[in-house]
Amino acid sequence: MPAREVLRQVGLFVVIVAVVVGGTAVAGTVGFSGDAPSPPEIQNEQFRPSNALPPTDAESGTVTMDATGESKTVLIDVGHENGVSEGDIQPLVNVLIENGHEVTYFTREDRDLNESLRSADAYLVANPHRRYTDSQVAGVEAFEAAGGRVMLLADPAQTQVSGGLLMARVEQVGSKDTAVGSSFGVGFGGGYVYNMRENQNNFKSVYATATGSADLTRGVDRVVLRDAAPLVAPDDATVLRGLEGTTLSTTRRQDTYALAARTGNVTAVGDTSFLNPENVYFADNEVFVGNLADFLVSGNKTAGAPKPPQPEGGPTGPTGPGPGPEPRPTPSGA
Amino acid sequence: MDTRGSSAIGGRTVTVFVVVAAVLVSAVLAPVVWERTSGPDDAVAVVSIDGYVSSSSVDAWEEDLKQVRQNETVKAVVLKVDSPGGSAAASERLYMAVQRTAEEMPVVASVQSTGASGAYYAMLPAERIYAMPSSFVGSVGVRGSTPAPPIGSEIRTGPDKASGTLDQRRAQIETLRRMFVGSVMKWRGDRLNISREEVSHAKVYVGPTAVRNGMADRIGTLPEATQYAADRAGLDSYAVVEKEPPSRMGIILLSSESGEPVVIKESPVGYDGVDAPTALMVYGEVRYEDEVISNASA
Repeated sequence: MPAREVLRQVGLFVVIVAVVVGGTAVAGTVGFSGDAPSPPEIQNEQFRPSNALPPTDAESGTVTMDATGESKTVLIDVGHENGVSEGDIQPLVNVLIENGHEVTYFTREDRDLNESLRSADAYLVANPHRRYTDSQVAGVEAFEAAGGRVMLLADPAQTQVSGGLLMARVEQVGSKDTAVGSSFGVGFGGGYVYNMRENQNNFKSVYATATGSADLTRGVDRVVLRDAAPLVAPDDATVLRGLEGTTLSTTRRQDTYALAARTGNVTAVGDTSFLNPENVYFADNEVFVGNLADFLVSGNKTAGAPKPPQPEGGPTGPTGPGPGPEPRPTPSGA
Repeated sequence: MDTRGSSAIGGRTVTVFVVVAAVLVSAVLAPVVWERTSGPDDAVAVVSIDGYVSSSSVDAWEEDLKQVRQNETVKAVVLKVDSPGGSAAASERLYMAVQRTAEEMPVVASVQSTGASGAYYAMLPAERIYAMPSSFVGSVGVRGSTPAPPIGSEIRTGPDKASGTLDQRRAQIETLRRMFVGSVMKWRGDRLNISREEVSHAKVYVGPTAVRNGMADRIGTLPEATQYAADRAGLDSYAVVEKEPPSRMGIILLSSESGEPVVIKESPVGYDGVDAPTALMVYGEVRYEDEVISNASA
């Protein structure tokens, strides 16, 4: 057979195989290709702004005081490694100063708390991390017994982790020294409160509402507490409670937990965030802060109390012991 | 004998032989080619949603689902889910890709170890969610870093140019939570035995609990989920086409299946050189190379 004929036959073979196999391939792939269709329409009404956006809680109002008496001195504790900065309580400090009152600070350099208390009319303690000495507790008790006003503020203890993976440091941040509060019948419970049902844009931002017509809650419907600890206080002393649905983090039990209380000359609030400039104009926080300022300057403390320890047979009256030894710091981390 | 005549006869014989041989060879090759190019008539596609849900991983999953929708032989999809979730935006993208697919064919989810947070979000449009007895399902919540205090000095054109306030951030995260929970209620509201409030707790549930409270539908494995998908598509016989999980570009997940912290070598929040606040829909403690976020709520 000539070479030309051989080539013709081979060519014929190749053409037939190519047509059959190629046609099969085309037929097989035709179902997988083609122009991309438009993606299906989807509906998500939950993404509409009317459904997705939380209600706005406009900030309004100003912090004002009603008390018009003589100038008083408010002593603020920063000498017990207090977990609050001056900026955090600036609205309260500002309104006191604007109304002619004096604000002083007890620092670690002022070794004798009782001496500082003698020249004060009110004493504010927030998140003390350093333990009070027995003599300091006795001095504060004597101060209160003499008519001095005492305000205790405490945030929930939090575990804070810092540092890198190999040098992690775990610290407990928040008040755990209950010595001062317990001597007045109030204390701060463990954990924090939250409310999944009704809150201000976060489960930990709970609303607290007035329980009655106490001076501390005059003009207050609701306050917003961003990170609140429940109080241990008598029912008749409670002035602010959480709404229905308020839950304690440690037990997950719902209750209308006490969040602010007043017993005699002592007021306790389980939060400091409401004093912060960023939160003070939410809900009725500014009214509550003004009422707290009024509370601080409305006492009638005996001049010079707590008196230094008197020798046996000396004059009687509210006294406090001397400074005593410097205590060891409260253990706060590992 | 005419040599020209005998040569022509010989040529025709060879031609016939060549044609017969070509047809026989084609008959052998054609089924193979058909098999390779056409595949089975009907198929159930298994798409693996595996690992951290990031923008790059969703690129691949979106493409997988798009191909599935365009493949006329695929009649149903099973999402094989083993993920703690990821970034909020990526999770929403994946959710919408699954929703588009569910508009065209039955979609069924099969949870392996974990189908939580953003991964749970993504499988909401599934007709049925299968979970293993030990699967972790749920964690309907959002988390995000708080605004950092200003560092250094720079000129900004507005007070919120860098990160905004804590209150603004709180409202943003709350908005994302409402949409996430709203999506859960949209798809599973009639099957849930827990309230919207309980859903918002962001709990994870093991398989039997998830089935009891309606966060999942059945205890079962991938074959059960595949069979159900085929049944929903009306398939008596079908092939199973598996889509491989995408490679995790630079993201390394360690011990995510054992519940240990998710270690991310490439930060899922922000961008190179910019600590931009973003939101996460992820379950578990997130560790970054140089910082630790401990305010986990989702």
